Amino acid sequence: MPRVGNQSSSAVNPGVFALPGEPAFWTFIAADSGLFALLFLQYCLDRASHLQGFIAEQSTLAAGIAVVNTVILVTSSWALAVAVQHASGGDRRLARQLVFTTSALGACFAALKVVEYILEIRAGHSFVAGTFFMYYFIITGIHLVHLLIGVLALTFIGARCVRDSESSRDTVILECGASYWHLIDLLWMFIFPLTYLAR
Amino acid sequence: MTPYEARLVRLSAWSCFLFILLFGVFWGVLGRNIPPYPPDMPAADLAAVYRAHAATLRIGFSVGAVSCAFLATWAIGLFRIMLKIERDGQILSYVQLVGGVLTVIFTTYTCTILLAAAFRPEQDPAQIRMLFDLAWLTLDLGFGVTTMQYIAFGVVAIGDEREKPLFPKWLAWLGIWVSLEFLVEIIMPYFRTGPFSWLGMFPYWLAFFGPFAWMTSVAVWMLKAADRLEAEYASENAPRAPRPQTTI
Repeated sequence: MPRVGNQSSSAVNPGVFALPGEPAFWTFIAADSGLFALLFLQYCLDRASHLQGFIAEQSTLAAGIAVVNTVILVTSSWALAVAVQHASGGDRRLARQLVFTTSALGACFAALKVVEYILEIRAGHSFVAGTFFMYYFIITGIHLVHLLIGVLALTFIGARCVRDSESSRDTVILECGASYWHLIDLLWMFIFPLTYLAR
Repeated sequence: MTPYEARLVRLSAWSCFLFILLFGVFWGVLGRNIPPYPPDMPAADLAAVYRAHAATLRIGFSVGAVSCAFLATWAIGLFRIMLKIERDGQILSYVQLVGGVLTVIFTTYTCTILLAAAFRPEQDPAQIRMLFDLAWLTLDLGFGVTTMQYIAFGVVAIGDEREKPLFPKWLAWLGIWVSLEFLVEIIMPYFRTGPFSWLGMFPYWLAFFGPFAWMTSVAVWMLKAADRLEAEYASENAPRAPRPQTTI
């Protein structure tokens, strides 16, 4: 995530590395990353012991939708990174619009994910259809819940914390929101290859 | 915080340690719940265990049920400290208190359900397994009130405006994460084996030992907070030096 201007914690102490947003919030991010790391590890272990079954079921996924969703999520992260840059000392109106753009792109991701779920369920691939689809629905489902929380949080942040007058508290909240959103993006960068591409 | 109140808050913090110790030893070890028997265990095998160990299971679940009361006293002590942090309305402090007290009901009730299975171990094995299922489903799916408690505490602790907060903010965020990790219990009823079943990594090892570690940390900082609040009270109420008398 790009550093923000005069209100960021590192700018207060130039030359000193500081985490974006509230440092304590990174405990949440670290714990959440740990949870996903365990999920990925468990998935890889089960995949290794049922490799042929996993590959056969993986090949039936609608990978096209996942590719579009990847582009959507990367674009949303870029928009939010630019928003954070503009929020401190830049064009705050543009920053607010970019935060809302991120939320809207997140909502698009969620809508496409629901379409994907409907297609899979109609094809007979339900949550209890097999080990691969169990993991597919659990991992992408937990990620989707994270994303929906992020959409709500960013909509709130855009409405309440990117105002015309600048305050250090608002900047910290925006940086926390951006850190969380980048985590969602980063997790998808593991989920996409693991569930859709790995052969 | 007056010295009397600080003393009681310290006791409430110690009651958290006591709960974890008693619940761990009696419900966990004597009640044979570390780890629990798997959901796919045949009813006859489970009934055989309950018949063979009925005596230790009964004492385990009886003391386990009683020990849950210490969870309530912990929540009350935490509530009193939160009142000193939450400036306006103090609704979240009450949410924490209610969430903590309702968690007591779920945990106590779970112990008594298991006790019912151990009380008549000669009964139909299918009934023993049904009681066992009921206990685990109740315990795992009763997390909603606990989530409410942890999030309310987290929001208040994060909003602490003291230069040095009474509770570290990382602990508050960790509590919020722990409470949200409970959500994995929602998918637990779909599985009888594997990492998402009630003895799996996510619904059991993470969702039980995570909160116990977190509660222990909160109780440690409650002891520190009680000391600080008592010192604050003492400095606010210290007798002032008499004014020098002026003579005309």
